[in-house]
This record gives sequence, C-alpha cells and structure tokens, in this order.
Amino acid sequence: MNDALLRVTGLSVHYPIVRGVLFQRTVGSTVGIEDVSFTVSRREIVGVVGESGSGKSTLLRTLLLIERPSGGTVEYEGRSLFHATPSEQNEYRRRAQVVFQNPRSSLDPALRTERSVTEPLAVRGDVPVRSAQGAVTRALAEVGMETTTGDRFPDQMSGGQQQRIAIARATVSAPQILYADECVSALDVSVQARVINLLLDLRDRLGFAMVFVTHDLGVVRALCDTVLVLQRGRVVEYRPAADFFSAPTHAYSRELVDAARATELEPHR
Amino acid sequence: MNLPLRVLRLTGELAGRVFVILTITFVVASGSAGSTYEPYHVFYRYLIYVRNLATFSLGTTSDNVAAAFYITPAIGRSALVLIPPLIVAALVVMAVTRHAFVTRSTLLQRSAGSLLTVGYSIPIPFIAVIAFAVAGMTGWFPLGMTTSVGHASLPPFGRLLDTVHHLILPWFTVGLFPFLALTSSLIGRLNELGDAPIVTAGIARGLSRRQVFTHHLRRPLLATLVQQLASSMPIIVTYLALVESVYRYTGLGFFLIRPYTGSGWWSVSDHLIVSQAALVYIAVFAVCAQFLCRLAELILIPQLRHSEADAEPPATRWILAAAAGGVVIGVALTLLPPLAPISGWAGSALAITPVLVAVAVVARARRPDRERTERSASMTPEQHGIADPDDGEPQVKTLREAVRATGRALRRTGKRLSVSIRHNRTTATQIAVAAGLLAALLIASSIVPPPAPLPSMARINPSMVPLGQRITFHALTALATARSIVAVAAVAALGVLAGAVAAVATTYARPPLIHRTIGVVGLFPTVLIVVMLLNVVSGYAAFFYAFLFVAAVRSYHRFRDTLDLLRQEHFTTYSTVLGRGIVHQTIWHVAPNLRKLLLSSTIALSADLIVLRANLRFVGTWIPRGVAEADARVPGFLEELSRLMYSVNWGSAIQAGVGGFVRGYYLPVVFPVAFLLLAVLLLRALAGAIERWEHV
Repeated sequence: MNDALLRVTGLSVHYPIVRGVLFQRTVGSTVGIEDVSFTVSRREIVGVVGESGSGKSTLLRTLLLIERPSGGTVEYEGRSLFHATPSEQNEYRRRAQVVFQNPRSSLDPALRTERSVTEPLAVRGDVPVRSAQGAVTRALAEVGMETTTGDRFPDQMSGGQQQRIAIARATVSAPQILYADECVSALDVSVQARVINLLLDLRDRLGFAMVFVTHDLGVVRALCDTVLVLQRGRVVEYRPAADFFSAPTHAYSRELVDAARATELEPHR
Repeated sequence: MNLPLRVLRLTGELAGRVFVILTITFVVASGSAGSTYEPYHVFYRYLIYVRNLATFSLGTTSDNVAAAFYITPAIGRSALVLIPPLIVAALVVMAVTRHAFVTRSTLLQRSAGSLLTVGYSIPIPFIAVIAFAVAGMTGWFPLGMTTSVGHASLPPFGRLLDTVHHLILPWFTVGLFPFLALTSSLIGRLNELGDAPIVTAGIARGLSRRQVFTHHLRRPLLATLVQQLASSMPIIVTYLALVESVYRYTGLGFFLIRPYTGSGWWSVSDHLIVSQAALVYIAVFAVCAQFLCRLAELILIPQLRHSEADAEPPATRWILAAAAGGVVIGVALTLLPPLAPISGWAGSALAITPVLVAVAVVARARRPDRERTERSASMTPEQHGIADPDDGEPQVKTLREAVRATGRALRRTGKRLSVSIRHNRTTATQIAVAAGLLAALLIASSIVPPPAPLPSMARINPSMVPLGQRITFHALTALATARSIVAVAAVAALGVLAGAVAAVATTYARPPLIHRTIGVVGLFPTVLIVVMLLNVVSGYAAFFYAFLFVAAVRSYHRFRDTLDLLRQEHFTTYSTVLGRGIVHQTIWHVAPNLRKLLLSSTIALSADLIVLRANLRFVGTWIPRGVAEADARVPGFLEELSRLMYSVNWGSAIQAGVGGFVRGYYLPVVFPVAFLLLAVLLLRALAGAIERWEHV
C-alpha cells in the first residue's frame, strides 16, 4: 500500500514487573499490546475497538509518543518514528493531533477558549500571532462555534461545545492524522451524532486521516472505514468496516457485534 | 491482611522523620557551636547528647546537667497540658457533629469556614491573657503554679482535683484551637457526606438519622478527625509552647522559648542544651502523634489497609520488617544501659544506623516510576500556510496604529473586567470592602503622626491621666503598627513564590527525597522553625529568613497538591503530546492556574505571619543573636525589612499593655488586639474572596 500515511508493524508495549527494593530487578512483564500491525491511509478512518483493558489507550499513547514501545515499528510517511531525530519527531507531532474523551479535562479551565485553540500554533513558533488569530477564528467557525466563544472560559460552555472547541484545537494546525480517544463517549446521544457528523465533515474538507478509539460499535459503524479489534493487547480482527459488521470472523468480534445488536432497542409493538 | 505491612512502613516513615529532626537540630548545634569547636567534635558531642536524650539520662554527663534538671520532669507536665484537652475536644466535636446531623442544624453547617478563620485569627496568647486576667480578678482559678503548696498532703482524689483545678485555664487555652479546627473540618465533611447516596438510602430504608450517623457516618468522620488532628499537630504544639510561656507553666514549650527571651534564670550559658532538648522532644512528640493518627486511619479506613496489597513486592516486606526490627533493637540497646556495649559513638551509631536504613528503604520503595515524557528540541521553522496573513488583527506599522491597537486592547480588557466584576458581584464587593479598609488602615498609619508620650505618672497609675488622652495614645500606638503589614506581606510574597517554584521543580523533576524532606519540615511546629533560625542566623535578618522559611514551607504543600491535580488533567497530557516540556507547561498551564492561588496564598500567609509574629513577640521570643552588631552595621535591604517587622509590632504593643491589663487597665491591650484582629480578618476575607473569584 503505497499511500499509507501511518504504518504500524509488530508494535508491542510491555510493562516490566520490578521486584526488590534496595536492588531492583525485572522479573517479568505484563503485556500492554502485543504484535499490533495495521496501516492508516490518507483520509482513512480506522476504528480501534475492544473491551476495557484490551490495550486501546496504550496503543494510542504509543502512537502519540507518550509510551515507548518494547518492540515493533511505527512509520510515518515511510520514516520510523522511534528511531527518528527529535526534529523529525517534532515534525510528526506537528502533523498529528489528539482529541480526548473528557472535554472538561482536556481544556485548561484557566485559559480562554481562544488561547487554548492557539496553543498548537504557538508551540510551533512559526506562525505570527496575527495569522494565528485568523486561523483560530476559522477553526472555531469550522466547528460551528461563533467567534465570540473564543472569549469564554471552558466552564461557561456545555460538554458538546467544549468537545467542539477541543476538535477546533486539534484541527487548527491542519493535521494530517487525528487521534480520537473515546471522544464522543462522554456526550449524550444527540450531541454524539452532531460531533460525528462534524468529524466526517472536517475529514472531507481538511483531508486528514483518523484513528478512532472507542468501545461503541454504533459509532464505529457510522464513522469508520476500517475496524481493528483488540483483545488482551492483540489484534484479533482487522477488516473493512462493512465486512466486519456483515460477517465478523473471530469469535470475540462476533460477541462484540452480537452484544451491540442486542443493546439496540427493539421497536415498540 | 495488609495491616502489619502498613504499620511497618509507617514505622519506617516515623524513623525517617525522627532522623530528619535530629539532623536539623544537629545543624542548629553546629551553627551555635561551630565557631568554637571542630565539626567532628560537635558531631561527637551531639551523638552522646542524642543518646542521652533517648535514654532520658541527661544528667549523666557534665554537659547536660541543666537539661536533665529542667527537661525530664517537663515532659510529663507538657503531656498533661496537651493530651486531655485534645481528647475532650475530639469527643465534644464528635457530639456536636452528631447533633448537627440529627437536628439538621443549618447554623452549624454554614459556620464551618468561619470557625476555622476564627481559630487561625485569634492570637492564642491573648486568649490566655484574658483567661489569666479573669482568673486574677475572680480568684476562681490558681495562676502560675502547677499544684497547690499542700498538694503532697492531700488524699489521692484531692490531689487529682487540685491538679485539674490548676490546669483548667491551660487546658481551655490549648484546646480552643483544636476544637475550632476539628469542628470546622467535621462539619465541612458532614456537608459533603450528608447528601451521599448511602445516607439517602439509609433514610429511605427507614433508619432514623441517629442510626444513619452511627452506621454510616461515624467511621468516615472519625477518619477525618484523626487526619485533621495530624495536620494540625504543628500548630497545636506551637500553641502549647506559647500557652506554657504565658502561664509560666514549666513544660517543654516553656523551656523551648524561655532561653530566648533573655531574662530570668533560664537564660544561662547552657541555654542551648535546654532548648535543644525541649526542641527534640517536642518535635518527636509531634511526629509520634502523627504516626498514631496514621495508624488510627489505617484502622478506620479499610481501603487504606488493602490498597496496593498485591502490588507490594515480597522483598519489600522483608526489608521493611528488617529495618523496623533494626530500629527496635537499636532503641532497645540504647534504652537499656547494661545491654549497650559501649557508650558514645558506638551506642549512638547503633541507634541511628537502622534509622538510616529505614529512610533509604522508604525513600526507595516510594520512588515513582520515571516519566517517559518526550522532550522536544527546537522546532523547525517552516510555514504551513494554514493562515491568511490578512486575517485577524490589523498589522501595526505606524505609531498611530500602535496607539490605536493599545487602545483597543485596553478597551477589551476593560470590557472583560467589567463583565467579570458583574458576574462576581458579591465577591467583588467583599474584595472592595476588605481592600478599602486595609488601605485605609495603612494610609492612616502612615499619615497620622505618632502619639506624644504619656506623662510618666501614667506608668504608675493610668487613671491619673485623662481617659481621652489615654485612648488617643493607645489607639495611635496601635495604629502605627499597621505599617509593618507591608513588610510582612513582602516577606510572605517572597516565601510563597519560593514555595511555588519548589513545588513546580519537585513536581516535574520528581526528586522524592527532597519532596519528602520538605514534607517532614512542614510537620515541625512553626515556633521550632523560628527558634532554630533565630539561633543560627544573627541580626535582624533572622526574622526575614524565619518568616520566609515558614511561608515557603506552608505554601509548598498547597501548590504541590494543586500541581498534582493539574498533572492528572488531559490538557497537560496534550501539552506533552505537542512535544513541550516543563517551560511550555509552566507558561501555558501552571502559571495561569496558580495565579489566583499565588495571590490568595500571599494574603492569607500575611495574616498567618502577623498572628505568628504577634504570638512570638508577645511571649518574648524575639531576640535574635547579634542584634547589637546589626544595629552598628549599615543595614541592607533585608535587615531594614526585618527591622521594620521587629520594631513595629502588635505583639510588642500587646505585651506592653498586658501589665496594665492584669491590673484592670484594659485600654493598652484593647486597641492593638482590636487592630490586629481587624487586619487579620480583613486579610483573610480578601484572600477568601480572591479564591472564590470565577473566570468569566
């Protein structure tokens, strides 16, 4: 696949079990993720699903360079991230953004919205303030927020509005890949739908790829092109979304899909 | 069951704290004796001294005769003054809290914050003086003695009654602050727990409120009580020292402070030995009391007992057990002279080595995992073309445009401020009133001339001077002291800033030993810190360093707690994802979030320092070494600042008036105390209002 933006090959994260107090030694390890491989093409949305503790967040933290892997490689545009120089890693960070689950926690309560959205631009240090303000205004408009909301603090907004601001912060620097960590699960259903539509709309307009971590298969069905299923840190299924939902191959995937169907409400008779 | 392991760990912590106390007192000893003796000699003598302290056999060496004579009996006396009021306060507070829950008393529930403010604001020696005066006038309670003259000839019950009779006033004074602090904490906790699902469910099941309290609230409230007791211990012990000084009750606190007042038979050449012994015993008592509170917490809160039980490596248990066992054996060897193989170096080393091991073990066991935060190098300058240069603010090219841009920015700031004030109307009013009154107090103290001295006959019989003239004199004298608020606030600001910087440094760099050491120092009674610094540093600068130290240590923990909370938020993770380290996070997230706390802490600590200074000055602990030399020198900025704090002082004004107060002349004391309370309450109101200010 030549147009792969991100290629993950055999990625593993192990957490060491340390024994001893005065003389510490590693006596074993627990598996965070093991031998995870997948690719993300440009404009593609990959959904990562699995139960709690399956390694979804560990995978995301590793892709965001917060965790260091025990093995495997992550290539971004053909260059290995974990063997890259700091400036190459920064180049990646400029093109990758993240939206977290809890919008209340992901925006600094002491900063006005406008300043929060400016942060990724300020970090780059190569965009003049006046230009940054224009970009912030445009990013706010793109997520359907009025310009005046830039003057507010996060506490003065609803959860849905806060998540829109978090998305605006992620998209203001024109990322090539966007990581979303359960970014709609803290919102009510109607707001979820609006945020999902917003993300699809932004993907179409800005052309970024997405890695969407969630445990909600309904959201995956609505949003994703490809599905990656994790169980106890290992990939058990990695297929296009349509194939996955029509005929899941792995027993665990079938359980997930059946459970999702079972929780859908039956029409009233 | 994880309790034994937890107890072992707490024992290790206790040993570590005692070790830190000994280290600090050794530094004090070196500071005092270092110029006379060689360092190894000071260390050698100090080890013998510590060993004698541990065996309560201070009189066995020629150095420690004075300490043995005064200190050993004082330990029991101090315990007698301190422990009963704490027990009574705890029982009464539990009863009051239960009553508040059962009767749904809103009055108590609303007054939680006010009680604490009052507890921190009232100068306890002043309460002692009032009690002293009332007792003197009514004759109901004996003063200045621990027992009656014929105490020994009384029957056992009579001796008990006699002792209680003599101790009622000290008990009342010592117990007042713990009572207010505990009531405030427990009512505050009750407000949190009162609507908890478990309470609602209990009432829905048909239980009475009394039963709900007994079954569901008593245990968590008891846990809160012991936690509050542990955290208040430094202040309680400080008050013990002050109260003993006021009542001339010859306990440990009395001997801690008395050698520094420069008067009386206690001010002998070996005052250092007396004071050091009192200092070590009081500090060890404070940490032991906290140790007992932590043990009580373990018993009361099952989650504490069982948390991390499986994560504990087996080796830790054995090493902790060995360390705790080593401490016990070392102490046993030291306490039982026949078992001690040799005195001096070896005996002391036996006692201290396991302590060192325990400190190392605890420090190592608690070491957090290394952060794997990626730190970025400089960014590559590259334009992404995401923004149109014509967007946003117009480009500033000329002076006129610059002026206009500044005007726009000012208008915008003014508009934001106006919206913010409208939103926080009540808080803004409180701030305006408190700040206005404080400013009026300061301006009045600056522009009103100092009073003309009263005629000399006023000293003999104040009633010979017209009442109006006396009122004017005392009011102006008290007002003049307000000027030193600025000096105190400046020191508090520096201390708070130092505390904040230390908190940021230890949060991000995470050196656990430094953090733990600051934690232990924070447990010291404030008066000990001040006394130690007055002993080590000479001249007026001693006050500067003492207050700077107190402010920094007190504010450190507050900032550290806030920063620990901030680090758990996703926005700091986001900054890490952006590849930025401590500098970026400090500018973008730490500074904006600590801004309000910096201001409110400075103001609140100014109030604390004013009360502390008044207390210390009042009991006479205000004579540092080398003041005469300091007076002869050309003063630097620090000395000038400290001199202002030293010379203009509510504590001295109150002290000057106490003699008259006891004889029934109230004016000399009423004005300084009234001004002091007014200033402290205004500062606290201002700090509280700033903390409540909401972003808009």
